[in-house]
Amino acid sequence: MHLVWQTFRQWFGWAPDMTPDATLQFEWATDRLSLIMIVGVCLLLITLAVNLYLKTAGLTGRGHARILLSLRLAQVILLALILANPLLALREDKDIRSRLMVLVDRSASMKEKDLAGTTETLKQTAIGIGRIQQVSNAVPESTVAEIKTLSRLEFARRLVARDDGRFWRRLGVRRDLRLAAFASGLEPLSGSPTNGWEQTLTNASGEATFLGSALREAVNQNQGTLTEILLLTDGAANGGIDPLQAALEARAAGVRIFPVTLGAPSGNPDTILLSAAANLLANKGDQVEVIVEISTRGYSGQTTTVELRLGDRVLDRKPVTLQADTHQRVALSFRADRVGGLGLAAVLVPQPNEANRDNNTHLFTVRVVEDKYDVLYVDGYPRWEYRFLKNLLMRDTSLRSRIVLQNEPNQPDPLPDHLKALEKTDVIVLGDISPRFFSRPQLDVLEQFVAKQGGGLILIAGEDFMPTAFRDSPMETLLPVVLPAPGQPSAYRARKDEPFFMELTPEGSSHAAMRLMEDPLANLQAWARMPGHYWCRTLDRMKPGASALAVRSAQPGTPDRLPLIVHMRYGKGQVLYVALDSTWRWRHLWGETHFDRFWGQMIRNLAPERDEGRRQSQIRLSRATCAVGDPVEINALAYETDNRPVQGDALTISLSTGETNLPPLLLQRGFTLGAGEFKGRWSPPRDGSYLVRIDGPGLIPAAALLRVGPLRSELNETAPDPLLLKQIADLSGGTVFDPAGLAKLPDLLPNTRRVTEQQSRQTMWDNWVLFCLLAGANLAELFLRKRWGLL
Amino acid sequence: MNRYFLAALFALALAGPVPAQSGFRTSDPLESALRAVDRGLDYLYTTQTDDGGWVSPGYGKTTAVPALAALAFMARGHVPGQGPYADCLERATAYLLANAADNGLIASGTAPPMYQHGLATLALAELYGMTRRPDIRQRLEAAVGLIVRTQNDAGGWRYQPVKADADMSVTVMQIVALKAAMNAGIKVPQSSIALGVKYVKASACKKGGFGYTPGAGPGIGASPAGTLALQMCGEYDAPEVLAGLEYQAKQPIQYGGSMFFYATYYAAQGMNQAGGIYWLDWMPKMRAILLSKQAADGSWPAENDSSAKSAGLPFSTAIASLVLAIDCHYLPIYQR
Repeated sequence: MHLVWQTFRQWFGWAPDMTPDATLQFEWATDRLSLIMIVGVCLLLITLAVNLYLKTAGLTGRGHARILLSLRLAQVILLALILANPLLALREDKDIRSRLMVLVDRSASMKEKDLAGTTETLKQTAIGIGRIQQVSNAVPESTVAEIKTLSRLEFARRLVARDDGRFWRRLGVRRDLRLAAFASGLEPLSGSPTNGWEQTLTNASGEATFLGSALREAVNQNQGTLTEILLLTDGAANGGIDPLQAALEARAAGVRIFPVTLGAPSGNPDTILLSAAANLLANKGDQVEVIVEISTRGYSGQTTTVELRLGDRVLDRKPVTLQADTHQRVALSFRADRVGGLGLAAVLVPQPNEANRDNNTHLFTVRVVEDKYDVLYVDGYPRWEYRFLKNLLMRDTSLRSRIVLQNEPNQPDPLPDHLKALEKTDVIVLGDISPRFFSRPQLDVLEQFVAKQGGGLILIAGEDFMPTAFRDSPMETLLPVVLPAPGQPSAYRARKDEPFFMELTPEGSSHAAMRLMEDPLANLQAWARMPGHYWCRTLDRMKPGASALAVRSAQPGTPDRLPLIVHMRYGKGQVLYVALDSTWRWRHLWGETHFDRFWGQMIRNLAPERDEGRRQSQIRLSRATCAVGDPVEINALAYETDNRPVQGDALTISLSTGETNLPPLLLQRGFTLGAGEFKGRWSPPRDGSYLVRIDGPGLIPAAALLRVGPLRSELNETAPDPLLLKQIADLSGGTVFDPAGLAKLPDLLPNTRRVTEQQSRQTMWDNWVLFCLLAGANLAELFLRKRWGLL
Repeated sequence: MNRYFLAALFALALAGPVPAQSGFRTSDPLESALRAVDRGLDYLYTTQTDDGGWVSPGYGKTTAVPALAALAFMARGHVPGQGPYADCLERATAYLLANAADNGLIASGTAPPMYQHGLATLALAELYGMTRRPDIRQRLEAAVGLIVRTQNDAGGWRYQPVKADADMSVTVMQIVALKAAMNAGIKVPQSSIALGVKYVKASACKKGGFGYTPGAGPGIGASPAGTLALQMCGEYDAPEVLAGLEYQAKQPIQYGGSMFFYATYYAAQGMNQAGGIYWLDWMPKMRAILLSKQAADGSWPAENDSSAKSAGLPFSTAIASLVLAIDCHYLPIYQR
C-alpha cells in the first residue's frame, strides 16, 4: 500500500496527510448504468478495430498489424477509463471527542424551595451537596436548615460545583462538556465546570418551561457530536413541543438523556388559582359568569373560599372543598350594573401557613356596554355547528337573535329584498346554506348591508355549499378569500386518525375577539390546546386587505399554514370567514366557555358602532408585560358619568395586585394632550399581575392589566413531574438519576469515543501522465502508419 | 435495504407508547378518563358485528346497544365521516335504519321495544345533520310520530308501542328523544312535551327523588331519570329537580349493584346539567370508580347488575364511556 501511495504521490501530485491507519481504495465515480454503456461501446470499438486490422494484416504483415492494433486498443481503453472516471479514495479514521451537554432548567418554578418537602428528597439533597454519604445516614439539623433555604436552582448550582469538580473531571475524561440553561429558549453558557459554570447559573426567572423545545434545540445545535444530555430540571413542562417527541428525536440522533429530578415529588403544599375566564365584553344588566379553575397540592379535603372582587368589594363568594390531582372549576357571577371597564380579581383564599401565595389571585378585565346586538343566523341543516351556535345565540341575553333553519323548500326568504329591512340588524351569520334560497337582489342587499350599512357578516364553511356554491355571486365579492379554481380541491379532509390543529397568527393574537384568556401567553396556550379538526375548506389565496387570524398548524402531510379564520374590512363593514365547520370541538373540557367567548366576542366585534355619543374611559399601557423595574407609560382617557371629559390637571388612578392595594398614582395632563387625557409613568416593584384602574367616584371606570415577570402557569404548576422525566429517559435510551445517584453517571458512559470516517478523493484521469500515454499511443500509431506506408 | 427496514420497525416500535399531544402531565384524572373512554370505544369497535349491531346475551341484537354505542362515539367527538371510528359509526347508523319499521318503531331482538325505540330515536336525532344519509330525517320523523301517537293520557309511555299504561323509565327515554329531535329541527308538538313533564312531576316523591310510577317510592333508576327529564325540558329550578339532585347526591355509588349502569347513565347527565357543587362532588367519585373497574380489554363488566349483564358488555361499556366522555361536552342534546 505504501508503495502505491508513494507512486501515486509522485505521479499525480496528490498529497493529503496520511496516518498509518489510513486506507486507499479504488472506486468508479460513474454510476453502474453508465459503466455498462461505456464497456459496451468499448467492446464494440475493439471488435471494429480488430476487424479493420485483420484486413490491414494483408498489406503490412501480421507483426506490424499487431503493433498498430495494440496501440489502437490502448487508446480505446484509455478513453474508456477516462469516461468511467476512476478515483482513489483515502479513508481515514479520526477520533472525535463526543459531547455531553448539561441542560439546567432556569424557569421560574426552579425558585421553589421544597427540597426538604419529603424525607427522601431531603436525604437526596443532603447527599447531592455532600453533607451525608448515603441514604441511611441521618441528616443533621443544621443541614436541614440549610436545605430549607435552597431553591431548586441553587441546588442545581451546588450539583454542578460538587466534589470540587472531581465528578466533572471524571466525566471530562470521556466527554467534551458543555453547559446550557433553558426556560422558554435555550441559552448556551460559557466556562467550564471548575471555572465559571456555577456563577452563570443564576436568576430562575424564565417565563415558561419549554422542555421539549430545549431538548430539540440542543440536539440540533450539536449534530454529530452530542451523545448525552444531563438534564437538571423539575420537569414541569408547560409549553413548546412535546418533550416525548423531542426524546424520540434525540434517540434517532443517537443522543441519550439522563434527567435528574429536582424538587420534592409533590412540591410544597399549595393552593393554586389556575385561571379565571369570563367574557371580556358584557352588556349592562347581564349576569356575567366567571369560571374559576383551581388546583391544590397537599391540602386535599380542606375547605376554603373562592371570591370575585372589584376593588375592595366582594361581588361573589363560593365555598369549595379542595381535591387533589384535579382541576376543580367553580362558577362565580356578578351583575354588570355599571358601564365601563371593570378590573376584577378572582381570589382563592390561601390556607393558613401556605408558603406560596403568589398564585392565589387572577386578575382580569370585563368591559360593560349598554348596547344590545341584533343577529340573524341562517343555516341549511342541523349540523352540530348549527345546534351549538343556535343555543348560544338563544342563551346570550345581550343578543336579539333570529334563527332560521332553511332546510326545506317553501319557507320564508332568509334575507329581505330591501336594505331598510336590515336597518336594525348588526350581524348576519350564514352557515352551509344553498344559494337557491337567495335571489340576486337579496345577495345585493347583503353586499350593501356590509358595504354601506357597516354590518358584520360571518360566513361559516360547510361541506355542501358554503362558500364554493356561491361562486360568481355577490357573496364571492364579500368573501375575504379567493376560491380555488373550478376543478381544484376546494376542501381538505384529514386522514381518519390524523386531525389537524389550529394556531393563532400574530394578527389573531392581538385581535380582541380571539382573546380566550386575557394574558397573551395564556391565550396562545389556550388556543394551542384546542382539539384537532378533520375538515376545512381550502382557498386559492387571501384577498388584499384580508388577514388570517388563525391558520392550520404545519404538520407532516399538511405543510402549508392554510388560513382557517380570515377577517376583512369591506366598505363600512367587516366580514369574517371561518373555513371550519367544527368550532363546536372547542367545547372539549371547557364546555361553553371558549366556544361562547369566541362567538360572543366576534359578534360584538363585527357589529357596527351604533351609539357614537357614548363615552368610554380608557387606560392604555405602553406594554402589557414587562420586567420588574421597567418603566411603563400609562395613558388615560377619563370621562365622568355624564359623558364630560375629566377636568383638572391631574387624575388619580389606582394600582392593585388583587389582594393588595398599592399607593395611587397621579397622572398629569400635559399641554399637548386633549380633553380628558392624562399621562404618567410607573415602574412595577415586583413580579406579579397588576390592575391599573380608573375607578374614582363619578367617573366611568376603565381598567388594564399589566403582567410583570413569569407567565402565571409557570408559577401555578411548580410540582416536579418525575413520570414525564422517566418517559423522556426511557424513550431516549437514558436513565433517570436521583441527585444521590448522579455519581454513577460516568460509569455508564462508554469508554470508546465516537469515530468518524473522513474521506478525501482524487480523480485519476485528470493528470498529465494519462494525457501523455494517450497522446503517445496516438502519435506512435500515426508515426508507424506513415513509416509503413499506410497513410 | 435491510437497514432501512429495521430502522422503520424500530421507529414504529418507539412510536407506540407516545401519547397524543396534550398537557404533558400524565396524572390528570380528566386525561385518564378520556384514555379510558378511548379503550372502551376500541372494545366497542372490535366487538361490532358486520351488520352494525352488537349481540346481547339476554336479548339478542337490539337497537339499544348500537344507539348507545353511537352516542358514546359521538360524545368523544367521533362523528360520521370524521375520525378513526367513522366506519363503525356508519355501520351502527345503518343497523338502526335497517331495523326501522314502517310504523316508525326502531327495535329488534327481545328487549322491550319502547326502551330501544327511545334510545334509537335519540341517536338518530344526534346523527341527523352530521351524515349525508337522506333517509335519516324520514326515519326520525316517523320515530317521533310513533312516540307522539303512543303517549298515554297521563303523559307517559310503557314497554310496547301502544297507548296504554306508563312508567318513569320508558317515559324519560321518550321525552329525551323528543327533545333531541326538536333540537335537530324536527317538529314535535309542544303539548307532548308538556304532558310528559306533567307525568314526570306526578311521579316525584315528597322526600326527593322519583318513583317508577306515580305514588311509588323513590327508585334507584327512576330518580336520576326523572331529574334529567325535567332538566332537558328546561325545568332546571323546579323543586322536583332540586329535591331529585339532593336525593341523588346522597346515594352511595355501588359499582355493579342493581341498576348501576342504567342509573349512572341518567345520574351523570343530570349532575352535569346541575353543575356546581353537585357535579364537582359527584363526578370525581364516579370517575375514580369507573377508572378502577375497567377491564384489560377496555370493557366494563356488569358484575351484579343483572339488567346490564343481560344487555352484555357492549351495553355497560357504552354507558361507562358515555359517562366518562361528558367532559368533552360534545353531544348537542346535553348542552346546557
